[in-house]
Amino acid sequence: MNLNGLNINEIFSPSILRYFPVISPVIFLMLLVNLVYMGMAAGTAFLSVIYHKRKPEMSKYLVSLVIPNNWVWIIFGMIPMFCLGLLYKMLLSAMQVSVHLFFIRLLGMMLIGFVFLAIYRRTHLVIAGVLGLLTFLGYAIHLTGVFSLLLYPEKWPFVQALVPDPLMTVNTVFEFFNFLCLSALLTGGIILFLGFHWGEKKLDEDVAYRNFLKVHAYVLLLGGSLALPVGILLDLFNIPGHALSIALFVQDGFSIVVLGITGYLSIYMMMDRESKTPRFGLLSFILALVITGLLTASLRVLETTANLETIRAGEMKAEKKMMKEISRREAIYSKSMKVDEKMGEQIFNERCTACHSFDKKVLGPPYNSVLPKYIDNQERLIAYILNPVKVDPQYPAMPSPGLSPIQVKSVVRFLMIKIGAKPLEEREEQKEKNEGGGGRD
Amino acid sequence: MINKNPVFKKLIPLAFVALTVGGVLLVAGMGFHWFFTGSKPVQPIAFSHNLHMEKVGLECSFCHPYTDRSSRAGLPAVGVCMDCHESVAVDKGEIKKLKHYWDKKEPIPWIKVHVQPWHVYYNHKRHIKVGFECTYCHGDVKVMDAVRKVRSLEMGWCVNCHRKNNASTDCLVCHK
Repeated sequence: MNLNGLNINEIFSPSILRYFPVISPVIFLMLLVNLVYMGMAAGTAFLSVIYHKRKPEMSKYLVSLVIPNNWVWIIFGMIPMFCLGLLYKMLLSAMQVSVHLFFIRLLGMMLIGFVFLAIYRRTHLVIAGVLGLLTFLGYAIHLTGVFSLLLYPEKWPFVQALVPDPLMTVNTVFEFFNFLCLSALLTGGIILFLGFHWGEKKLDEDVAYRNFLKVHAYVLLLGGSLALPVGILLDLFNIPGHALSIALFVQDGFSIVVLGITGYLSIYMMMDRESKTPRFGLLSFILALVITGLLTASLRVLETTANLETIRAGEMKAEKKMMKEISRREAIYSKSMKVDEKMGEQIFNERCTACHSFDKKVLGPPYNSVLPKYIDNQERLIAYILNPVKVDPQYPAMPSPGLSPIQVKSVVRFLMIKIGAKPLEEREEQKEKNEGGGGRD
Repeated sequence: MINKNPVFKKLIPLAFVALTVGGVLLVAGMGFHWFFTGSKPVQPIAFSHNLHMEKVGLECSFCHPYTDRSSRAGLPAVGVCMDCHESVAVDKGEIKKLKHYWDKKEPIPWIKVHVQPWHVYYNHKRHIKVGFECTYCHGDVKVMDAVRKVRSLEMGWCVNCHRKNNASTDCLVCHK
């Protein structure tokens, strides 16, 4: 893809991959913030739309709980998604597919969803709320689809359409189900936390209203913590073999334990322990965050394991690019871009002596026996080193040393001087002189 | 809010403990099953493709010479390894294992990673001749130490690729 002559793959430089141990936690953090915020936004918007007519006050309260003003959704929703798009593009730069397009699409869907919800918060027009909610559901399906697709690098070459077929896999369905469960957990947690624990947002309404909201929060927590283990197990059952790892099983085991604790605590609190609700408000929110954190970590482990080779290839590409740049600069500063026997000797000592010697057979033949035939045809020797082929059946084929033409010419120059022959450059100079002299005669 | 019957109250924690333990045991069971059957196989010699391809610079065809000549890519004879390892890295543990097979005149019992069912006839030569890179089906082997299967190589995947490249999807192309 070109943007006014600029290659998009050059703009998203993979050189950052050298700092993979640093960017991996950044991706985790951005993903966590995004999942937590989007889960809460979708859950509260859903409840708000459901109770739009029956309990308008509660409906307004719920929508302003997660979207109190426009800055909050920009900071916790849009910015993390933008960063994720950039980071994934760099992380999977070796894949040569348009990963960034998926994230641009996600960013667009998120923007539309939040604009609808912002309108809904201000005007309380139910149609805006419904449209916002539907856009969020589309966003969640697309997001889980992208993450499912990341588990199957083999499917990327077939991704062509705007909403491609491989996006809808069995994994997508299970992960979308998990997102809904997480959303229920986080919504229950945030209602109990902001409504019953945190001073500023404490509800000063009558007891019936408080209880009504509280029951919903507990039901969401209980439902989420009972359904999510099923989703985790089904998802685990469908994950392709190459994406599995021990870390994933351990994390999923922990998630189930934390979900068990959350479920038990919510049913325990449902036994009408009004006095303990504020304390549980904080605890439930922390538990919901821990579960989201564990599942986000599982998602990261899955993607990294599935794309191990792609990431490593990107790292190597970045490393090579850097080495090339270093040697280019070194070459400019040391003016060693010309053929030089000293450079040839250095390369010879580093690269050739492992297999070759002048007077005896090592892995390759002794130079004293093979070099003389190249004295009058040094171009052939240069061509051979640049692209070696098997010549003598009693020796293994020489692997390509991966040297540049200047480096190969320098090695050949050194070898020729070493065996007492005239190097190619001097022979050519001599030839030119002779021809020049002939011309004057 | 809910039933406050004492028996019910006692049963709730038990039910949650049972559910949680059941869930964890299921995850552990899946983990053990995967670890002992599905994870990448442990080969008799820890041959590193990364070292030989990236650092030494060997091409795939150096060790798998029949990729463009036969339906099978071929595995290198122990002698091919010994060509170099008679004198290279002879003191390393893995090379001693190699030497052991060489001395006993036995082939190395490599564990096959890319296995196709008996009714699938995959032809390396045909795919290489039309210009496919080895990495397309085998993943970026150059960066792997131990090779693992990164493409499903299932029928859906093959058919998708055949369709995309206008190759025949007739049953007899792959199934005889």
